[in-house]
Amino acid sequence: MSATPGATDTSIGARVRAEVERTIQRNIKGLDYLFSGDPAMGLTPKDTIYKKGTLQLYHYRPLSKEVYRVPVLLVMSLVSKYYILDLTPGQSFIEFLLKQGYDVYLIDWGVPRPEDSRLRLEDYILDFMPDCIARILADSGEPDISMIGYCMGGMLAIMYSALYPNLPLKNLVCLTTPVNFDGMGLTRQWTDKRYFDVDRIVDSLGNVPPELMAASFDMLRPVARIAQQIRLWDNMWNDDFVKSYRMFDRWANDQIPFPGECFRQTTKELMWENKLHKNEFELDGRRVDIGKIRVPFLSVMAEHDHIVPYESAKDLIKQVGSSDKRDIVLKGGHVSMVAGPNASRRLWPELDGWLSERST
Amino acid sequence: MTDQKNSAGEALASWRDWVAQSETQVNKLLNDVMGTEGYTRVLGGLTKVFVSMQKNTGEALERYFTALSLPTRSDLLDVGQRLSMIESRLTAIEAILGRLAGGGASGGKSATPVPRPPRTKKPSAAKGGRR
Repeated sequence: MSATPGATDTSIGARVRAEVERTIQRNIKGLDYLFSGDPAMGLTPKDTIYKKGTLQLYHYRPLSKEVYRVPVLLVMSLVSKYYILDLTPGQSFIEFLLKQGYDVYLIDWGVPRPEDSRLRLEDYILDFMPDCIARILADSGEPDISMIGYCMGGMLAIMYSALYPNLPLKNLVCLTTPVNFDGMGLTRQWTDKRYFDVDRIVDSLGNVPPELMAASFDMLRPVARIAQQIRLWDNMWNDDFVKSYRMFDRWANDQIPFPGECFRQTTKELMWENKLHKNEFELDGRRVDIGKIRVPFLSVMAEHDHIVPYESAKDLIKQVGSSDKRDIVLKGGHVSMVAGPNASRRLWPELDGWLSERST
Repeated sequence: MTDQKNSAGEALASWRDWVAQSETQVNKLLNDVMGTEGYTRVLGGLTKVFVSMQKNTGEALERYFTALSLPTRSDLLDVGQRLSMIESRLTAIEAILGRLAGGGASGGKSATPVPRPPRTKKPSAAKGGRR
């Protein structure tokens, strides 16, 4: 820890100067921040190849001269907007896949309308997903696809794959997908059947309002928003940080309602009775046996995931019946695992390495 | 002397560490409280109040709007539902027209031709080695 006095003075002088400049920049850019609009996201060029109600099936325009034979279908969660997977050029998972040579499709469930409160998991898994997959096969001209499900989208993909063991599925990837709801931590505690009246919520409100969803996510990390505001102020001089913050903040605040009947079903059968983990869950009288999934399978979990804790996702690999299966635990949280600079260094290359070998 | 100067220069770094550590500690502390049965009971009670308020407010407004001969939320929802049915039928018609025109089976498909690169890509050796 020795330094020449002159050098130290210069170093301190430079630091003071840098701090003064940052403070000025904070004030100037802070004003910009307050008065500028939301950043644009989800801009990777795409075509809507199928619509049904609020559902839209996108096909992204290729960004490479040749693509892998097997198309990739991204299945989003029912409770969040799809553009977390397509933030901005350079920070977009979809753009990354396209540049690596994948032919990418995505199911965007859209924002449920009041009349969608009657939709159950059966509608999504036995009706909408088969429809979308048939369209992809017709559009691509290929006999099979790979599926990547994120969060609850992974759960939908698991249920679909288990119910249709003869489906044209080549590979299945689940990102932070819960299967053992006993491991859901505080979320499970707060939905304790003795105190949480799910029937009253759904019967009175129809869809579960986005405010309620947002509040439940915020409660998992009660002071996170305050700490984020402090970090934002501290980094207001840094354009990259502010841009990234605004994108994540916009997405986090852009919650959508949870279709009512689907929420009731998820709460009662998955959260309370943990039927998916026990292999007792049924859709339209058909048992969802995860052991029937035989395709190459990859499960990716985040070490610090507070929404889908590791405990709730770790058993998925054991339950899946595939012989070619692997799980990975990456540093990061529920969102930073799939989007942003950390994801581009960790998850994306790992996933590409695994999927590319199995996409020909 | 040098240490003093360095510590002055690193005050901000320490403050940042403190913010990060405090966040973790306070989150954990509050989560411990939130994980108790008492908290769950209170939360359940508050949710019931929120839901009842939403429902009662909605019903009261509905009566108020009806008295003023204004469309209520239910009326708008009915219109919305009919619009989405019309939308679905339009999509179906669009798909049929697309098929008749030889443009494929997809409802809502873009008129712009999509580039279709050959499906010949093979994984590079570097990727294959990453297991």
